[in-house]
Amino acid sequence: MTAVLDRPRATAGVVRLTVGRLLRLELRRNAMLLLVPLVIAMFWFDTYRSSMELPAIWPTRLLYVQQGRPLVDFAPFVAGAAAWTGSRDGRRSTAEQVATTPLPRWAARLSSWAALAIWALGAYVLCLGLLLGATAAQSPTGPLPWWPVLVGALGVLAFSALGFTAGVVFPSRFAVPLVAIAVLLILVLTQYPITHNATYGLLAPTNLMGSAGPQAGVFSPFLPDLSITQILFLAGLTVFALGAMGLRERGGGAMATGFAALVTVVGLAVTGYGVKLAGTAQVTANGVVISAVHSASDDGPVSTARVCQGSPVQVCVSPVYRSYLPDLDTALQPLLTEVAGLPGAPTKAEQVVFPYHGDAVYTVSSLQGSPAVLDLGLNIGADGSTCFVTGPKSSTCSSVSDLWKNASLVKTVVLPHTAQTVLDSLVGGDGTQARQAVVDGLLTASGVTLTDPTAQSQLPPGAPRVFNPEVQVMGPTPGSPVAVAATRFAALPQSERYAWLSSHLSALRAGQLTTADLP
Amino acid sequence: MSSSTLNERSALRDQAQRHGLGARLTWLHLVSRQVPAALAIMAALAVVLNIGARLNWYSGDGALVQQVPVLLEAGAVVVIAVSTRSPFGEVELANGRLLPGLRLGTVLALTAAAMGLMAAGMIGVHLPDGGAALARNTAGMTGIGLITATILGGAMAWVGPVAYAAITEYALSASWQSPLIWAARPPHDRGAVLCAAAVFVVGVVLITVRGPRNTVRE
Repeated sequence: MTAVLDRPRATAGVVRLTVGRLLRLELRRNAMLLLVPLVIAMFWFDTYRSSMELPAIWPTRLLYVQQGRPLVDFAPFVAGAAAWTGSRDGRRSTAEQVATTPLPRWAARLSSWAALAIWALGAYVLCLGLLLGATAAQSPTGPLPWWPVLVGALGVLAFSALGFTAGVVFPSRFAVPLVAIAVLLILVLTQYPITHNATYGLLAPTNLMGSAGPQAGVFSPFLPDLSITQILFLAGLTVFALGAMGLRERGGGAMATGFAALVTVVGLAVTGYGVKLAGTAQVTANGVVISAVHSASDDGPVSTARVCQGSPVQVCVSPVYRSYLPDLDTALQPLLTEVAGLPGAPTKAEQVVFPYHGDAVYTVSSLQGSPAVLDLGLNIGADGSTCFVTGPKSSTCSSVSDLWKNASLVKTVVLPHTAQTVLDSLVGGDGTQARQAVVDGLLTASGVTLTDPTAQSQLPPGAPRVFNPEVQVMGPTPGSPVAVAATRFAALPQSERYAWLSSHLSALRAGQLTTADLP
Repeated sequence: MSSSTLNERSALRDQAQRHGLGARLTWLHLVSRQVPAALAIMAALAVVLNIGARLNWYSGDGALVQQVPVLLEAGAVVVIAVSTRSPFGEVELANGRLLPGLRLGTVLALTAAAMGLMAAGMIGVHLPDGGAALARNTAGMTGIGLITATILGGAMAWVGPVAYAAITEYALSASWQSPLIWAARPPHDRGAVLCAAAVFVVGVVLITVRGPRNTVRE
């Protein structure tokens, strides 16, 4: 009698022991083991090399991680290996034989999946650890955004579970490669066509709109709202896939089927909740806000501390970007010297967050407050490359992150539109010919090369196409009264220009002067 | 009835039997490689290619224009690569004198079918770079799949084309111009065509002569 009463406890113990032994066996003989060197190589080739080319600033260095690139390197192979493992019984036609063993098939399959997930996750942690370690060795600045790293880990788990279940359901030799290709296709498609989808499309870890950008967490706290939603979505998918696998098993009894159904429903519910949350997302300059998971403490600025340099007007940047300050100051001082002290001129130039998802390529600028402060958003650290006209018959190409290390290119990308913003606000832009001439004269005096509107192209034959209309400022038609007056004004000594502006700025703004009145 | 007539009839019957046996052997070989299923999957991929064009999956001027077709071509290629797996292992090697010929014929037929079906998937829609690039990319990646099959075995032969497709995705985003990444080059670029053709020839020769690696895991 005692033996009969003790049987359930003994059976449970045996099952636990068997599951543990099975897990150990699966860990030693797992398909993912074969692919670990490959995924590490893919990560090195794609994410690691690309990331290490970006500046050693944490959110910048992890820009590709934010964009889900590690998942593109991992997921096809993890899903393929999972499908391979999941389809094992079906491919070998051993499903009926193993179904008679005491261990429920769902538990056995969960052991197989767990072993695969451990290897896949281990490889992911190793790769990210290498990237973070190499970055840490370069004394990086800025806050480290952990959330996208977690999303990637959940993505690896979700694709392993989905791939495994696909293998169980379709135990064909073709299921494995098709799962791998399908995963790659999904990740690529979600990266681009729905890039500008600001709600449900954000659920894809590779969605570019979901990436907070290279300045995430520098000017305001990193918003984890989207990451939390993505984690819910991916965790839900994982649970759903594992539960659905249990629903296919026969012979486990009503209890086991009921439990599998419960797990499946919970997974579906969590996935659905993630989808619902994504539907309420709002993309802001600081990241994605999802009100249901948003914390009010994430709304304030991180720190208003700035490091400054320059005279007569100080140029200030976040301490994270301290190394870029000298070049920025050199680029802006010719302009700031021209206008310093004039009514409405900026008293300070201060770095603000660059709108990563906006239309601007290099910089945004605006004058705020009284006394006026020049707000500068600088696209430091974003990916991509661009080409510049550097002379009448020459051009140069540079990655967007590299150009901020080149003093002449910093001037090329920052000065033109910043100068236009300042001078349009100060003088009044295109209102009258006199104003236009003064603005053009000051632009020239500040070092901005005005584009001849009659010239077709300054590019030499065969040179790369120009992708930087943002750095071009259209000048007056050569020989026109505005051009003549602007040239005359620009040729004056700086002190004479400044003295004339000081005494005539009000009249110029009021439209009371003509080009003939300009010195 | 003369004995010569009887001999003639007997020879004809033997010949017919040989033809019948040859056709049966070929059919059994194709079935053992699940070629009918492979053709069905390729046809489905061609349909996806067509639907994708109609849904603007690869319209515009970004990297995606080339990335999506390359991935679908890779889908057809992995099917060819995995179909090289023999369910009989070494037993087949011991008995199959005609095996190299059957392997060669199957691979060439499947590659031609992949190109033809994917080209059919372009009907009524515009495929960036056209049919020439499709044929080049399919042939080159098939070569990679076949080489992988001889190294890792038929079951894992998908790893090579998938890795190559992933590298191509990166190369297209980064505007690489190496002929080794043939999909990143214009359709009639000689270097890219030569690279793809060379890889295809190497793959076909290897799979014909050596066959896919038989591993214990399979």
